[in-house]
Amino acid sequence: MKIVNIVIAIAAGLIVLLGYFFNSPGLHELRSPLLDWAVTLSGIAGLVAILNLVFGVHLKRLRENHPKKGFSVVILISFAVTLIAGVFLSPASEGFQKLVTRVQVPIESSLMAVLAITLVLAALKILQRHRNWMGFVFFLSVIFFLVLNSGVLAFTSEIPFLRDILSGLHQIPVAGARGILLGIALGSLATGIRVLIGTDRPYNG
Amino acid sequence: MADIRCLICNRVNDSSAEHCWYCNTILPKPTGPLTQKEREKLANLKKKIAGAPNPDPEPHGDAPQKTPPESPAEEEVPDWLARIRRLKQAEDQGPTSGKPDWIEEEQPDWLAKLSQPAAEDTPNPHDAANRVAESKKPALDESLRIRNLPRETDEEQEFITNLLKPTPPIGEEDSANSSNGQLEPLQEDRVDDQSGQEFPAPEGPNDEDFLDVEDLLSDKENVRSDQKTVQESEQVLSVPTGKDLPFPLFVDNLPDWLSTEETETKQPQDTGDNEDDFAGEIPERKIEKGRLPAWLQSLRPGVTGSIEKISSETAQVREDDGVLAGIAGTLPGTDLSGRVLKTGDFTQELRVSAAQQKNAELFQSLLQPTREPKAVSADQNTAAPSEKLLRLFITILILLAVITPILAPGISAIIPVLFPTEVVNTLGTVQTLPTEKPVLVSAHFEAGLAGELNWASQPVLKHLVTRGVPLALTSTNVVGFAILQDMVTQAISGDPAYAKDKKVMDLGYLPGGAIGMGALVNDPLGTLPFTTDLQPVREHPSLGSLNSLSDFGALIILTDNPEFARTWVEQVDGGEADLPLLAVVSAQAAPLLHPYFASGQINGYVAGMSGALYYEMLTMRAGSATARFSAYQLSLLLVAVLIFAGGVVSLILAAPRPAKKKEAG
Repeated sequence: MKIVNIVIAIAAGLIVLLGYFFNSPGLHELRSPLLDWAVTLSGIAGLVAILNLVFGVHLKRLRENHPKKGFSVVILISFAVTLIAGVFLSPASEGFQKLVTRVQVPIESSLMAVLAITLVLAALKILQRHRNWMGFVFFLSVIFFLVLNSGVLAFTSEIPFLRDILSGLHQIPVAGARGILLGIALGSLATGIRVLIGTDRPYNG
Repeated sequence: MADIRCLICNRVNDSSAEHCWYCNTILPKPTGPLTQKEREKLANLKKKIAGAPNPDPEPHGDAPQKTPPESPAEEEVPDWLARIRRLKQAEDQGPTSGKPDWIEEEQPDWLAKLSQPAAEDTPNPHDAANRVAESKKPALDESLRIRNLPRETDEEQEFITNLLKPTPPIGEEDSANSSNGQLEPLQEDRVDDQSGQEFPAPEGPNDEDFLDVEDLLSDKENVRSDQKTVQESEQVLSVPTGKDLPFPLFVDNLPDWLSTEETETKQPQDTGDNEDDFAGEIPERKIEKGRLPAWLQSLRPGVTGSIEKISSETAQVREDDGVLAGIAGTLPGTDLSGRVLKTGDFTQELRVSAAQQKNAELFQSLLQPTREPKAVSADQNTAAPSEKLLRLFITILILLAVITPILAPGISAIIPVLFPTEVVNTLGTVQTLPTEKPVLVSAHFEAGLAGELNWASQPVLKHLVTRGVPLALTSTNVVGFAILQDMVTQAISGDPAYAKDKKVMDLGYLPGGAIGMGALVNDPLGTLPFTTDLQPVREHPSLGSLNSLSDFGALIILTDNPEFARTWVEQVDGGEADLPLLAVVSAQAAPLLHPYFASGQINGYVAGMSGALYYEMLTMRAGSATARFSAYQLSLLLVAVLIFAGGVVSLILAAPRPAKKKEAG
């Protein structure tokens, strides 16, 4: 049975990939249904994930009298309220949207604020744990770009020499980002090859 | 001339032959007439034989070992011996039945033994010789088996058995016999037993009266000549091979494997050796082990390993089950459980350079499946009180830096005067968008970054709303869909002339990630045929003429994830659609998005609060970014100062203390 999965995955991947390089009507006719099926399966996969979260995790915790079953009770109640609101109010309703934005956005924003403070603490101690030249470079880079992005060096635009230097320093993160993008591209290519040759089988579960 | 019969193989040869045609043994030569001295000796011998108490003794007491153990009755008795026996019988039947005194006195031991019946407890020398031969026979058979030689036939078996009989040294025998003057009778019996044939009578008078004596003399002469011939031949053959050779007589004719056979068999000094002596000789006889080739020896470890071990095991093994149950001495099967046969490795060595090896490992690592990341367990109780105090102090400082500028409007920020190119291009693109074509706004961000993206997107959305551009909203994640609706609502709230119901179309959630994006690029109506309120897209007033992605005026991406922006760029750039691509991203995604802007794949982007501030400054509409930029700027400066101070303190506190170390040492 696994070989069937592999054959289907490889064939679908090759058809979609060839559709990018060759503008053939036949390939287009094959490619469009595959993409539609994939979109539909992705939506169903989301639904399956929700059902697993409710029944496979939190309801199971309640049945097994898990020590953290209190959190599961909160999650199940929130899920039920959101589901009922979405069914009766529809997703386009402003009331339903506020139910999401007024709850979820503050919670996640608070987590981001805590993350910011944690990062500051980590930056404070970086020289304690990494007392080497890479640690010093990172330490100086953090301070320099924080100051640079704050805009307090805007006065340097009147000074040609400093303006050119700061403009060049602004490109350093871009240069680093290019390297990261190249790495991402190579990683994506390797991932695609692994899937196409059947080495990586994410569809096997 | 009469033919000569070989003493060894008993086959007839021509009289002119010196060696046997069959076994190459030296043949006895016909002798001439006896001398006077010899005749006297034979006469004495005749008298002794005639006066012997037992006329028919066992003639094989010290018989030569080459004689096969056959019954005398079955032998072909020569005429001269028959005549002797007849004379003896005639004398026994005569009136004089007593024995002469000289015979009683001078009777030697061997003759006494011959005259007495053989005792059961006394080993018969002839039987002992046969036992020696029989005891050597298995060793010889084993040697044959080791050498993978064919087994001998019955005749050859008998021949070899005779050969293996212990032969007393000839010289010693001669000296012993000559010392007591008993050579002639012994030689006579020996020759008779050996050959058992009729020798030709010597030339001489053939008178009837003198027949017996002459015949006897001729026979004795022949016997003596034959005996000498045999002795000479034995001596000649035994000289080059030595005494220890087991086959001294036929070294030249024996095969190599037999002639080189080593022996440690002792020559019996006395024919009266008991069985224990012979039994002790058997294990001493060692046969040279087979010298098998290495490859054959490796294939037969159980066989070539130890033959002695196998033979000893064979005697001890007694089958408990199977068809051989109860039978002792069976050959044990070789235990093959630990036997491993390995085929030779004939593969050629693959020579790989270091660079090739490195490239191969890299390629192999690329093809390996990705490993699941291990979850890091968070230990919440490891923080020390001082650590908690430091966290609290830093949190308070940052909160003060954020809140103070908002609460105190008098604190002004340093406003940059140079506008980034990407923001300027974004403004120019939005400014030139046609108002009849809708703009597709695609969102993909988490709720935690919704605040930053809201501040960054508001200037752009307000600009679009101001220009009256229709908006089509979609999101590739569930949370982004609801937040985007809220952002647009917030942007429209400032312009009551913009009809949201007619110009804003909510297409909802687009599943599938990159696949969904690709499907939307290729077939927008097929991918998202309905709005969130379940209205057909074609029936919407602003999207009635929508057939492909090119019917949109522009595509604006709202995301905090550079991967999402990259995917959109790839999908739109690879398709046939030719529409402007703009982006509103968080500050952390800006460096990763800038290369796409530099390459022209993105027409422009607004990143973070700084980008929003630039956009507001360009449009000369103060918004949220302008109002919060001072707090943002102060917070960044405070964080930079804290990190610098913390780094300096860390350097001081964590510096090595050589004085204390010396004291401790």
